[in-house]
Amino acid sequence: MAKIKVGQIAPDLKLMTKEEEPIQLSQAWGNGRNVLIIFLRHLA
Amino acid sequence: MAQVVPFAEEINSLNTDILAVSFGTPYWANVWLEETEAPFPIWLDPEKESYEVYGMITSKWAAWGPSNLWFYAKAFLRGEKTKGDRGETGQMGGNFIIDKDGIVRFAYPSKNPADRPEVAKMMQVLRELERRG
Repeated sequence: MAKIKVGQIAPDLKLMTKEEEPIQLSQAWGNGRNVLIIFLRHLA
Repeated sequence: MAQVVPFAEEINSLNTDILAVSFGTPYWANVWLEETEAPFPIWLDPEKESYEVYGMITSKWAAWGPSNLWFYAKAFLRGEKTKGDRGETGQMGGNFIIDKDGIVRFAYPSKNPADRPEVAKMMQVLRELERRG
C-alpha cells in the first residue's frame, strides 16, 4: 500500500460527485485554496 | 470527521476548503449529509482507488481490536447508536492537507477506527500555510 509523505505532490485521481458526475481530486486544490481531505470509513 | 466540523469556519478562513471522500453510494452520501449537516461537499470513490493510493489501511484486526471495541463500548454506554453497515468495517479513514499548489502538507492515515489526528496539529499546519501566503 502506498505511503503518502509530506512534501510530495498529491496524487490526482478520478472520483465522482454525489450526483455521479466525474471529477478530478485535483479540483479540490486547483482553485488557489488549500484543502483538508477527510477520507471516511463509513457514512454514519 | 465529527471533530473537524466545529472548526470548519475557522478552517475555511485559513484559505482552506474541506472535502469528505467516501466509498459509499450516492444514496448514503445524501443521507449522511442530511444527518451530519456537514458544511462541506462529499465526493465518492466506489472503487476505493484513492484510499489505496493515499495509503489508508484495511484491517479487520484494527476494526475489532481492543481499542476500537472499547471506543464502541463507551459510545454504547453513552446511548449512541451505530448505523449498521454503511461502510466496510475493515477500512480505515484518514486526513490529508494539500496546499494550493498540490503539495501534501499533512498526512494521517488512521491506524484504527478510533484513531484521529489532533485538530490542533492540523490547525497549526493551516496557520503556517496562511502565514507563508
